[in-house]
Amino acid sequence: MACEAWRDHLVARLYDELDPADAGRLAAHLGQCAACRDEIAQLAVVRERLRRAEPALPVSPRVVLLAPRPFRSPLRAFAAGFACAVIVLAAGLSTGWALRDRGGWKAVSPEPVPAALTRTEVEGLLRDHEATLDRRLQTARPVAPISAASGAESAVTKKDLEAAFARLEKKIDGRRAADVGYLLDAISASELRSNARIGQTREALRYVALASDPRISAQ
Amino acid sequence: MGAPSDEDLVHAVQSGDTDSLGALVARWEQPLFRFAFRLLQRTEDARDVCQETFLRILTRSERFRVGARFSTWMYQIALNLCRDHMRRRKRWRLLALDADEAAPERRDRGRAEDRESADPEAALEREEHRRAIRDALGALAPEQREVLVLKEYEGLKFREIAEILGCPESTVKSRMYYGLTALKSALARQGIEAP
Repeated sequence: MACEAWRDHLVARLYDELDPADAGRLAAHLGQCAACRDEIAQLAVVRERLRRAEPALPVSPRVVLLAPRPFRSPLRAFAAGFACAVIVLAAGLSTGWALRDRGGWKAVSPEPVPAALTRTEVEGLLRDHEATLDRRLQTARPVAPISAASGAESAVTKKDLEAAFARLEKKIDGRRAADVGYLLDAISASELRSNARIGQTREALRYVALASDPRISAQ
Repeated sequence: MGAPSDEDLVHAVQSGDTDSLGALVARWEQPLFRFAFRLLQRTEDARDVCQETFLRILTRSERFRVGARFSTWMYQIALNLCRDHMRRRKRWRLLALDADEAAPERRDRGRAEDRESADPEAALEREEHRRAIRDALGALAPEQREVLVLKEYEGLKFREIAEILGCPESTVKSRMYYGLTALKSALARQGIEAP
């Protein structure tokens, strides 16, 4: 066993990281300490063994970055579920209270089946509907076409449309990333349960995830 | 004009240049994968750590301090991820060298090399040697294995390892010393005395 005070120096010398001043002091010590001489020789042998035993490593796969999955803690999921339950309960209670103020629930008797209409009555109803439609058409305001709407306060510009489409695209991408994340979680869970790897599926999903995240770059 | 340094590339990533991340990936994916594989001993896990490390570099690039070394920061992230993996899977016993059940592709390649060898006895001895080293490494304390992999296989300086692990350089050397002496004892128990 080497002298405790010199162990750090022995290790540093083993890896050629001893500064010149310490190297001189260690050399002087080794000149008179057989235990330390023996120790450093044996540690060198261990290093050589490590080097010789190193096998070939597997080829590194290409790095594809995955979008981070949103973290959903069980506590937060419970809190969200509890909040929803409270809201539903409150809505039910307030509805019940409002109905109670108006006399509560009442049994509804089935309506009598109406008798068949005569031809004259049907024609009269149709005329009434036509008149109603005419009135609504007369009061309706035509919608301005986009090209003619420049300068109008409520006009939809090309920029607005592009922004709307960008928002929609982002939403779809987000949903797709969440779905892929869910699948990866499910696969990981299956792997842990079965103690088997589903490597090819995971690999395929990585590329799907890559396609759905605009921040990703593959190298 | 030479290639930009790693640190320059991280600063570019900080300002939103994701192409610079691509350059960092191209430079570091191989060393990082090898490092993770030596600690985790599973290709899938090593790839996950590799990818997660680069993703964190992308999403947390603002945490990279001016004047710091990129490789140190990257190894810190990767080491923490490896520790998480090992905690989750409790696979500390597998480390660093050939693992029959975990790396069939390497095992097959090793056997192919051995078949090419003219001396089957030497090939067998080599295989037993690998197994002995693997078992001895598997018996080391995790903190000794980390230091050993970073030093012996990644070739980092003690100062850099100390920075990655967040401990004094003397602690790193001490872990290294005890790791090597533990390996020496384990190999002696298995009857392996000299190279």
